[in-house]
Order: sequence, then structure tokens, then C-alpha cells
Amino acid sequence: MVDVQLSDAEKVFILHGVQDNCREDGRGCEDYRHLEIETSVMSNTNGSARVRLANTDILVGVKAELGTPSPEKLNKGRIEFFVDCSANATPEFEGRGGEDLATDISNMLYRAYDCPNCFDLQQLCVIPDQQCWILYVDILLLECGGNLFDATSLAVKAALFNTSIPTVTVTKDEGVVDLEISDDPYDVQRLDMKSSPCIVTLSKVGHSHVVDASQKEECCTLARLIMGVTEKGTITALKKEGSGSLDPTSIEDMMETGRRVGESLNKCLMDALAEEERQGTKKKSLGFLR
Amino acid sequence: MPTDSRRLTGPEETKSPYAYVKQKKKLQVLTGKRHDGRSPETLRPIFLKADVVSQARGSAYIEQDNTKVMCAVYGPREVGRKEDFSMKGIINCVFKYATFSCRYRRSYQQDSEEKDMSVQLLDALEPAVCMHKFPKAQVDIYVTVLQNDGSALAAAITCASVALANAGVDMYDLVAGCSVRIADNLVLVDPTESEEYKSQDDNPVNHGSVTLGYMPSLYQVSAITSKGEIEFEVIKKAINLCGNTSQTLYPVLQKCLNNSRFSLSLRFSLSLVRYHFCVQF
Amino acid sequence: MSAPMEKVCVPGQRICRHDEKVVSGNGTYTRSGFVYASLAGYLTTKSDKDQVIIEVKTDTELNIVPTVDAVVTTRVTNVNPRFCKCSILSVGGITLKEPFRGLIRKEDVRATEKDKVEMYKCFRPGDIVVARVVSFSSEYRRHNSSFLRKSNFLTI
Repeated sequence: MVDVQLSDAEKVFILHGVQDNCREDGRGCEDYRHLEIETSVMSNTNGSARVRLANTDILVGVKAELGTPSPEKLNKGRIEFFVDCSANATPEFEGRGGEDLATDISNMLYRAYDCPNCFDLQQLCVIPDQQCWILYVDILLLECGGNLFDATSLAVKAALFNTSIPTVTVTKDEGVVDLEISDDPYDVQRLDMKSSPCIVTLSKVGHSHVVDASQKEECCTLARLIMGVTEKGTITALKKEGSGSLDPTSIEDMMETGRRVGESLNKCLMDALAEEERQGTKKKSLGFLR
Repeated sequence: MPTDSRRLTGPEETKSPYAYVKQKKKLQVLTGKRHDGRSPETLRPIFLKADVVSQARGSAYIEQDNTKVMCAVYGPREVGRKEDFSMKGIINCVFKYATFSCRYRRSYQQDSEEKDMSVQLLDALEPAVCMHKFPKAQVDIYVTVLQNDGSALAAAITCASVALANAGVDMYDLVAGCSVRIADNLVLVDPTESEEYKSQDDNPVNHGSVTLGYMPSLYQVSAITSKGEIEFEVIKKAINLCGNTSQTLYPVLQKCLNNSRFSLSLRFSLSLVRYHFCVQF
Repeated sequence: MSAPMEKVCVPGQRICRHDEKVVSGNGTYTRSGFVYASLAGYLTTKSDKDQVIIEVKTDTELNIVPTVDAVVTTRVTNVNPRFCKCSILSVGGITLKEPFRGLIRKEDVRATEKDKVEMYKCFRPGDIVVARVVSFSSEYRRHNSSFLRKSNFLTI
């Protein structure tokens, strides 16, 4: 993660604040910063979303392509994540600088979406054993303002919700299989994102933990617990990151908070996306202009 | 493993024959009776030996029945590339499956799963090492899985911490690794390859696996990862079980390190001692 | 195998309670009022006046890293008008398994007439120099000072 230089006094200030449930910007320990989500921001993709979580800016584009399924999962499609830390975000990401961070985020996404219940890959199957849809989810980090995992997972979920795959008609003619892809922009297949997870990062600051750490708070954390939580409160992936160790009881507390926050985060996201969908063409498109 | 960036390899048209084998009837493990006769809370017998690689500063070899992992530690030595100025040392972990170690042949270069495991291994060992004792120097830890029969990461964590202690790197505590497989109401400790969680099996909720790195003396968790969709209460139970099991591993680690000391000082030829370690609750 | 005279310990093993009389030496650390071992080796106690120093000794040579104010033995690898690069071979009396890199600047060669130093006349590649580490530089090298008050640099 991008590092901000903090003096010891500032770190102590943040630590004491968190202990009293009052963070630097006045939030409580379980509050997220101002979050803006917009979908359908890019025309050349099957689905796209942009998330702005305070200073963090993430852009996700989903493209669907036809391909062969993997030999172990013959009647399922595939989803591939690729994270690109653009040099826009910080000069540290220039060249191969952001590679480690990008690998971390994409590995976490792979793990979180790897459960058959969260994201049903069978809906991507076209012809069992032969053809399937492969979803390429490309994530672009435009700006790093702390809490990249959460913002990325929100953007991915929104983009996948927004994805529309053209309907495919399969015709079998004397053994020759023919695929016909519909031209109609409204004859599309949408994805069921109800049970897909959102990633919640809990950072241990002093003796307590916070959700959605800003960059300064990230400097004060020695250990982080990153978990993928679904709407039902089940945990799809869990990872501890950082050079500090955690007490088993604090892990339980953090997981409890994460589950609670994750459930409500999922619900709020789905409500917001449904609302945006309902507005349809009447919605005010902000795009990249402010 | 050396990476060859200059060679352009053509697309590999070969496929593993196992992909075409019909899936055998799954998981008699769900009934609680494991195929190797263990009870759900029993670990496999462990053979642990330190100081196996003569050229390395420290090394260790662990065998958990059929899972065989080797670790070598080099350093503290000079930092390889131009790093930001830091008074703390750096640890560099490389985790690699040998190409013949798993059912499906693995690539000779580190793929994304191995890179992920390297990061998890680093996260597990970093809290235990006194980084301030070797400023501006780096310790390289190379872990190779020679044979994978489940719980490779847990074995690697244990092996690497013994190798670090053998290398004389100052540590706050040893780290013991343990993994469990969760299958509905059943929690199986130390799963074998056939028992391990695989996402391609159509598993409903409450199927997954948890791996824990635990520091027995300090009662702290240094690493935790999970796969699969698991309910909160079940995962909590799994973490507690892992912690208790790792605690019971501590005497094994102690004995191994003590023995390596004895054989060094008394100049005896290195003899292999097998520890059969079975835990019953 | 016969048991050794001293007690063997592993990292993280609790040794004793920490109070004024007990000092934690090399290979140990203190935490929450107790002294723990941080190395795998033999436990030794030394009495120094009233205090007891607890140390853990290993059979193999210590893991030594050049730190500030350490006296090191180096071999010159590269000479430049402003500085010369050298390879640190041993720290104190302990030989390093793998050499570290060091730098001797023109200003650090001698105490007087620092600007009149000509590096080519002072050092040649291959010379062995005994130096004291002055600082960790921001690059990947350590600055060494080759002037020691009593004995100067050795050229072999």
C-alpha cells in the first residue's frame, strides 16, 4: 500500500482516537467514508462501474468472450480478474512497481469468487463441454486513498451486476453446431449477483480495529484481516495480512464486526444498484466530469 | 527456479489424463471415518529434522505422512535490490511446488497460486522474527514442496520456522502451522489431498478449509487464510481447533531443534529419528 | 547421546522472571516481565557484580551484520577519485559467509587535510582495509571510515 509519512505523535493521536471510537475525520470505527458508485460509464464494455470511496478511485470494465471451458469444470464458464495499478495513482506504481499489490488484490478476488454458491458459473455455460462465456474483469486503480480491497470488490460487484451478455441461440444442424449471437441490445442475459461477496478490510489499530482505514490509519496498522462476506453473513475468503500478529480473541471480534459490516454493505450496495437501474435513462450521468 | 524470459515457448497442447477420468464417488470423509483410519481431530505422524542442507545457513525437512516439504534459509545477507532505506531487515519468502509434486504437473515457474502462498508464508513468519536485529540485510527463505498430499502450506510454515531457528535468526517465537477442512458439521484436522477443499466440486455452504499459523509461546495467531463459503460460527470453531492443535505441535518443534543441537556438538553422524506424534482429544 | 551440561532452549521459551538482578543478554528478549529465549542453543548465565546476565549461545558462528560503529575488515574492489567501493569480509573477528558492500569516501580517509586526499594514491583494488562503519547510507551501501586513531589502514 502507498505509504504516508507519519510522526510518532500523530500515530499516538490516531491510536487514542480509535480507542474512543472517534477517528480523525469524525467517523466511528464501523463507518465507511463517502462512497459514490456509478455503472455503465464505458460504452465498449459489456458492463462497467466506477467507485469513488473518498480519495480512492477504481474503474472496472467487464468484457465477455466466448471460449472453451477448463477441463475440470466442463459445464461452467470462467471469470478472470486482472488488476492494473496505473501510474496515475502514485509514481511508485510506474513500470512494475504496482505488480505486488495488483497480484494481492486479484488473488483475493479469485478466492472470494471461487465459491459455487456466490457466483454461479453455470449461467455462463453455452454448450456444455465445448463453449462457454469467459468474463474478463479488468480493474484499473486510478487513485489510491486507502482501503483498496473494499473499493475494488464493490466496483467489481457493481460492474458484474451491470454486465449484459448477449443471448446466444444454439442450433444443431446435422451434427454441426451453430451459434447465433443476438444483435438486439435489449435481448441480453443479466448475471445473478445476489449472493456474491464484498470484501471488508479490518485494520487493527492499537487494541481496537477499524473498518475502511484511511491512508494515515493504514500507516498505524500492523495487521489487517481481509474477509469476503456475502449478504447472508457467510465468509467466502479470509486472509490476514501484515507483519504483526493477532490474538485469537481479537480475530473473533474483528470477524464479528466484519460480518456485521459486510452484511449491511452488501444490502446497501444492492439497494443502490437497484435504484440506479430503476432510474434507467432518466438517471443523471456524472461520468468523469465534476 | 530459474525463469527463462528469453525463450518463447510454443503453446503446450498436452493435457493431463486425469481431466478425462470420471470423478470417483466423493468423500466418504463426510461420514467421519477417514480413509487412512484417523479420527477427525488427529494429526498425521510428523517427521521433522533440522540442518539437512549443508550449504544453507539453516534448513529443515518435514514429512507429514505423504506431504514432504523442504526449507532452506540464507542470510542475513545484503539486500538484493535497491530498497527504500529502512532500519529493519527484510524477509523474502519463495514458495514453490516441485513440478512433479502434485497430481497435475506444475509449471517450473511460480504461478499465481504459489505467489499467493509465498505472501501468506511471509505474513506467517514476519511477526515471529526480530527484524530489528539485522538492519539493512535480508533473509531469504526458500520452501520447496517435494510431494503434496494436502496441508502443504501448514507444513511449510512449521518447516520454515524450524529452519529459521536453525539458522540462528533471532525470533520471538516459533510458528506452528495447522490446517483443517470443513465439511458441513464435520471439521477434519490435517486433511490429505483427497480430503482437501476444491472449488470445482459442487459444494454447498459450509465447505471450505482454514489454515492457521500459530505462535505457541506467545498465544498469538500470525497467519490465517480460508477458502470456501463458511458460516461464521463454524469458522470460529475451526480457528480454535487449529490453535489448540498447533499448541500440541510445540513439543515436536522443540525436540527437533534440541536434537539438532546435540548432534552438532557431539559430532555424531546425523541419524534419523522418527517421531510418531498422534494427538487424541 | 548424553545430556549436555547446559540447558538447551528454543526461540520463545520462557526462561525466568525479569527483575533488577537479571539482565537479558545476547539471544534473549524481555516481554511482560519475563525473559524469553530468541535463539535455539545453550542457555548460559554470567555473573557480573550483582547482576546475572542470561545469554543463549549457539554452536555455529553468530549471525553478524555490520552495524554502526563496528570495526570491519574489507577488501577494496573499485577506486574512484571521490570514493572507493569495498567488500566487507568480516565484522569484528567473525568472518561473514556472504560479503556486504561498503563505501569509503574521500573525506573519511584521514582526519587532517581531507581535501588533499588522492584516492588512487591511498588505495588500490585488492587492498585489505580495517575500517569503522560510520553510517548506513541511503543507497545500498554502508559508509566506512578508514581512519582509526591508533592504527591506520593496512595495505597488503
